[in-house]
Formats: sequence, structure tokens, C-alpha cells
Amino acid sequence: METIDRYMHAVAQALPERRRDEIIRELHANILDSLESIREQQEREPTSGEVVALLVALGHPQQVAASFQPPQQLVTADLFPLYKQSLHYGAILVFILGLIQFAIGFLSSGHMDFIGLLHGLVMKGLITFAVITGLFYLFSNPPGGKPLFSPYQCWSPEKLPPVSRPWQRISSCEQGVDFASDLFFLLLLNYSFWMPLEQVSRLAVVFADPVREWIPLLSCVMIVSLLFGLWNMVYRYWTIPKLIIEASINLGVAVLMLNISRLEQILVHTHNPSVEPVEMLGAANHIIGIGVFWVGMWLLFMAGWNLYRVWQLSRT
Amino acid sequence: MSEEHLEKLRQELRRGILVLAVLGSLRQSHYGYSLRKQLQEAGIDIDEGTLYPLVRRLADQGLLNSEWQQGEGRERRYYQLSPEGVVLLESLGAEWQQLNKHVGKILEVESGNH
Repeated sequence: METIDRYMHAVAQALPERRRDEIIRELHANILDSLESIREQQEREPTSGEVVALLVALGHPQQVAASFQPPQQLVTADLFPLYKQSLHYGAILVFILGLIQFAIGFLSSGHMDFIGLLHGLVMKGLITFAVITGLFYLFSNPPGGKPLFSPYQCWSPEKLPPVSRPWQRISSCEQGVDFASDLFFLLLLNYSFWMPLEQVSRLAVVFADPVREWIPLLSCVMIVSLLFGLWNMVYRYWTIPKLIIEASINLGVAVLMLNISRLEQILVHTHNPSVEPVEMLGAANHIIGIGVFWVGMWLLFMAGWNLYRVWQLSRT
Repeated sequence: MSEEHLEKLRQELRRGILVLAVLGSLRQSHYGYSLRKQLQEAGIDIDEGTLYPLVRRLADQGLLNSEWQQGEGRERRYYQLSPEGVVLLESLGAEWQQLNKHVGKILEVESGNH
């Protein structure tokens, strides 16, 4: 009987207090019935081995206690696809926020804090994971048992994305990287708006005047590209109008980049006596010029590729 | 197909039917162990770890009434179908008969083809 008492205590410990007494009372009665059956069949008292075998057959105390309670899931199978999608979007958001923070840190201090970036990504990732999982736990186990929302109710076949080719689906990861890089270059070009004055006065190099003339136009195109990126994150598929907009943005940035690459100087010394001048600025300008030229060429190619896809879609 | 996979499918198939069998048996009053014995005699072997929580769940859903009774020097909790349980049993029983008839036909055709 001592073994049974230990078993009952172990089960009780895993049960909620309000149902504990009732379930234990019933389980105890059922176990005694089973022992009585052994007694009747064998015409003797059950051995300790038989008692142990009976309890083992009943199951681990935690398992038994769990089976008497309503089933609980962290995320129900029904909500799992939405949960996975939310984690995906959460990861992209964390990545973009991490890159922006890294870019601001780099542009304001000149140091590339990769450990800080990694630490920030891990911490933000864990918080995002915990928040999303917590929300879905709440959706999966709503208080009162009534579903808080039904995500798969509002849809109709006519509203599904008009996608006929696999490439029409926009990868959210790719879109996230595009968005982060656009934001980085927008911040870089307009450093004077957000960088502390003290930091600006300590800069060793700045954009040359001819480059500055292009910055407002380039910033406008970047802002359009960012807004377009947001649109693409919500409606993640290519259509003919979207491809034409993408081609126009790529063409606009390409033309500006190719123009900038032709300039003799992209960066110039600030001639600030308190800052050590950058060595080999001429070579650096040459390398940056080549880089900007090839980025411009790549964007030109992408604009052409977008137009080729417009042609492909217009044939279907 | 692995034994494990087969066992999983078998359990899945039995799960819904067990509810029907338990509800059907509880047209008469039973306590846990006597219910298990009755099911065993009818050819349905169900382990205690599955049966007792199932009975409690059905009672929590209002399909069974229960009361503690003294018998043979010990207390036991007796269960019996509630009026809601009777209605559900009728409905599920009819559904089961229909399904059994249709699946039976399908299986007959399949075994006839082989």
C-alpha cells in the first residue's frame, strides 16, 4: 500500500489543486478495484511485484495526471502555419532592425561592432520568438475556450495572388535584405540629418560637391524604393505594374550611379586640422568609383531583366 | 510500413470508436473497473490509463452523470449516460452504422478485385 500512496502523491502533485482531490479519490478507487480483481483471480493477496506492474501499466504519474486534464498545446496544428509565417516575418524584422542599428552605430562611430550586431540579433530574436509564441499560446488556449480569432475565415479563391509562374513569388528574405540595404544607403547619403554635430565635425572625409548635388534625387528614388519594398512585403508577388515600377527604380538608381561613377572625386578631405587625413584618398576614390559603376551596371541589367519578365507575363 | 506507423494508424482508427463504445456501455450504470470489464467482454480491450481519463472527459462535457456509492465496503464512482449523452449516442450511433455500411461496401469491392 505504501507504493500506491507514493504513486497517488506523485499524481496529485501534477494535478491542478481544484481537481486534485476528486481525481485522486477516483483513481484510488479504480486501483483498489484492479487489486481486488487480482485477489479474486489468484485467491491470495496481490504481491508487491503485481502492485508495481499494475501501476506501471497505468502510466507515469505525470502522464496520468496530464490525461485527466484538457489537452493543452503550445500552438495548435490549425494555427501552426500562421505561427511559422509570423516567426518568419519576425526574423526578417529582427534582421532589418539589427542592420539599421549596426549601420547607425558604424556611421556615427566609425567602428564595425560585429559582436554587438550578433548579440543584438540573438537577443531581439529570442524576444521576438517568445512574444510570438506567447501570443499563439494564448490563441491556441483561449480563456473560456472560445477562439479569439479565426485566421482562415476571411478568404475567397478570387482574392488569392494572381500567380502563374514560380518566380512571381517574392521571397520575404530577399525583400528584407533589399529593404535593409536601401535604408542603409539612405542613412549614409543623408548622414548630416541624423549624425550628431560633434561627430560630423570629426569626419575626415565627406562627399564631394558634385556628389552632393545628386544626393536629393538619389534619396527620393531610395524613399520610393523603400515604400515599394513595404508594398512588396505585404503583397509578395510580381505583377506587370509592379515589375514596371521595379524596372523604373532600378533604371533611375542605375543612371544616377553611373553618373556618380564618372566623377573624379566622390569623397574629399574635410581639411579638419584636428583629424588625421585619410591616406591614399585618390586610390580609394578610384575603387569606390569602380564599385559604384558595377552596381550601376548590375541595376541596369536588373531593369532589363524586369522588363523581360513583363514581356513573359504579358504573353500569358 | 513499420510496426510503429501501423500502431499509430490503428490507435487513430480506434480513438473515435472507443468514445462510442464507452457511451454505449454507459446506458447502464458502471464504475471504472466494471466498465473496463464489460468492454473487454464485448471484445474491446482498452487500458486503464486511456479509459479512466476518457470517462472523466465525457463527464466533464456533460455527457455522463456520476455519483459516489458505497459498495462491498468501499466507495466507487458510478457513471451513466446523461440526457445529452443519450441524444449524442443516438446521433453518433446512426453515423457509425452509416459509415460502417459504406466502408464495408468499399472494402468488399476492394477485396473482390484482389
